[in-house]
Amino acid sequence: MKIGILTSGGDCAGLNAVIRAIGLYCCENIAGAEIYGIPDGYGGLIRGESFRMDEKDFGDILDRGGTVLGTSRQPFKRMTVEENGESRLEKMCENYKKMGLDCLFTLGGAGTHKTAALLSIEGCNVIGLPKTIDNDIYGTDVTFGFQTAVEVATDSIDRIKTTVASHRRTMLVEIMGNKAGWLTLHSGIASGADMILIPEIPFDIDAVCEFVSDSRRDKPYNIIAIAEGATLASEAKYKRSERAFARAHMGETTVTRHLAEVIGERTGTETRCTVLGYLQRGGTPCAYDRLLSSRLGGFAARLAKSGRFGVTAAVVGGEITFNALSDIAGRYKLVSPDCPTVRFAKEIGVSFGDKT
Amino acid sequence: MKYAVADISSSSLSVIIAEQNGDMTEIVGKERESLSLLYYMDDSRLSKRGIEKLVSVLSQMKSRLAEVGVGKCWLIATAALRHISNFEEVTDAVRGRTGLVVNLIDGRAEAYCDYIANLCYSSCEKAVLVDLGGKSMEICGLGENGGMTCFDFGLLDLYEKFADKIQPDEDEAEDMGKYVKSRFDKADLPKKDAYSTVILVGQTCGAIYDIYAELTDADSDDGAKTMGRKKFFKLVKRLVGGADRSRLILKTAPEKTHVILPAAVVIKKLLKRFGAENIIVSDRGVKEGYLTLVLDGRESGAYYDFAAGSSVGEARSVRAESKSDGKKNGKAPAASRRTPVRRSETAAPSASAAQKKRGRPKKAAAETPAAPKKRGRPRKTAAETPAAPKKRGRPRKTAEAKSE
Repeated sequence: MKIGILTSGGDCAGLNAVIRAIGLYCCENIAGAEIYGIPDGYGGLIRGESFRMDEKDFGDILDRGGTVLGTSRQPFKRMTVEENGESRLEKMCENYKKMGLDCLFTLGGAGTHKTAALLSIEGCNVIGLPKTIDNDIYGTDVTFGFQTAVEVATDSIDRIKTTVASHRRTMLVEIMGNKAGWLTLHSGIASGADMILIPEIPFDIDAVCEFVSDSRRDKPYNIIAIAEGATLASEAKYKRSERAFARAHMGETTVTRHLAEVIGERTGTETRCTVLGYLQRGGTPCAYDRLLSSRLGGFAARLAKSGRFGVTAAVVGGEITFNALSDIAGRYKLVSPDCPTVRFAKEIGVSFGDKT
Repeated sequence: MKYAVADISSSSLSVIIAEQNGDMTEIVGKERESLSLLYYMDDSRLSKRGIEKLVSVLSQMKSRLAEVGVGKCWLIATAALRHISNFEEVTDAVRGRTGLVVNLIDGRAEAYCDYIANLCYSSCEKAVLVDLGGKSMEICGLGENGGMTCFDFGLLDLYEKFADKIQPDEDEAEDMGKYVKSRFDKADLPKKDAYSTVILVGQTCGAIYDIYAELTDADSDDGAKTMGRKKFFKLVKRLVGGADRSRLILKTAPEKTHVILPAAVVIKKLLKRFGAENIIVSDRGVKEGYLTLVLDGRESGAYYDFAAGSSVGEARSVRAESKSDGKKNGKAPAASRRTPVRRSETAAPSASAAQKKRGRPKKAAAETPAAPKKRGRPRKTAAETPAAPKKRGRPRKTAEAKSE
């Protein structure tokens, strides 16, 4: 059995642990398994590049961050656009055949899964694995890489908090998450943030300023965990691209900077912002992610052995299982404003910037 | 009171919510959740994971129905569950964990429900109703040109028989078209000028319309989903050989990836055969028809009573259907009187048929001993053993392929 593995989209902790688990399982349990790494995600498949991997390649990568295969972003929208008479999808299918693959593991987020579904439709035997620090892949309770990112973001906010408390400032900490606010929600609660602003709950700027300047709160400083995709209630009806265009037109870059300026002007408090950025992706996976990645990788390899393709591994109710790619492609798992975690946070006084 | 009918199909769970005010029953809501049961099969059995998924989706649906104040809900299943070998295990799990009882609808009853739901189109001149399902197809003339033909093969069967990959290529699509034509010929389906309007029923047809609308900027603001013959043929060409066909399907109906192209091929063949110029995609189907019939007392089935928190009545089963059919005809209400004569092209599937090879079927295997097929127009009772198409090439992990 010829098996290809690729990692696509932004990197995160746990990718190597998954590669290792797939590799070791196949070496141990599938007679005659040949494993090929495909470099740079779908980019490598488009170019038809691959390299043979054997057991020793998997030995020492469990705790390594990033991906030993390399990765790249290949927008889903471009996959079926013809370039020089051939689309990227066609090239990938051709190369899949040329390589003689029997199975392709695609480790990636929501976009990677959409492309995986395309490949599956075109007849490639694909098995997906849910990687993203955003935790927004539909049909799985958790994705690998998320927990490590939560720990990094929480630790960062903890460190920022000491400075903010000393200087009695309001600090906005921008956390990754354009569509989904899971990372901001979890790290915000874990670090004791006063306010959490996520894309799923558009915030009211008056409510934010009122909360910051509320003298009843016996706290001389404020930590606001804000997702990069957080939205003003007044802008919620517009598309993301339209919001970005309008903001650029007004000379503002991000919602975080805009909010920091407004809070400073209206409340008179010294307000700063910090963007955690790529800190959240890098580094070694936490123990939880190492375990989860290993379990998911092993399970996915078992799916390949049993001949079940067109699916993606998932965690449901604490158990490792699978979903059909066609059931999850193009869908996102977002934070419900009524979910128990949000309700609990509100009960302990965390504001979400909404009026209610 | 609000009523709901939920339908488990091979690719989704769809629900209609209706409100009854006096004599009027109005559809007030529709919902659909993608559920590709095909991917959760272990041979001919729905896997443990598949049962879990089904139960989970049903539980969510039940909660939403309770939230919007639905009083009674009928859960029906068509071909998707008819063909699985662990049907009882599935229905027990569904009942045990959600309280919902599955009412099984067979092909003929499904066609009748479609017919009832789409009686509004009987005023169309020379109209024919076409329901394309995963495991069966029903073609039913409306008005004067009445007559029903039930085919025991569906879009999934065509896909499994002809497509090596998930999307058939041009040659495979051509073979598929030839096969479909031969089956239509064999069933003595009316030819040129028999019908001028084809009314398409079923979610796959709805998905085809969505793709058509995406490409042609058609809109259905006035409530009518219509397709032009020429533009539709262009769409078929694009679906067969276009570079962006997978993206189009994935964008519009990812759960229908296996059946979009077979459906397009079948519709094209029908349009050519009938010489029909007009295509209407109906958004009324088996659920609407079943609700009409069950509220009229012309159809049986257990329902979930939200006030009582339990199911009431006996589950409808295929075995019970012959009785209900007889009753239906015996009562002869207005709608039933207009019910066209049913002309079964095929009977229930048999194990022997599943082993048939691709290509022209052997005569002995193609005909039941009870109903020898004669040349020319078949008798009303003529029945043919199923010719469940066999997949070409390496078998995939599906119920059909694995059971062989």
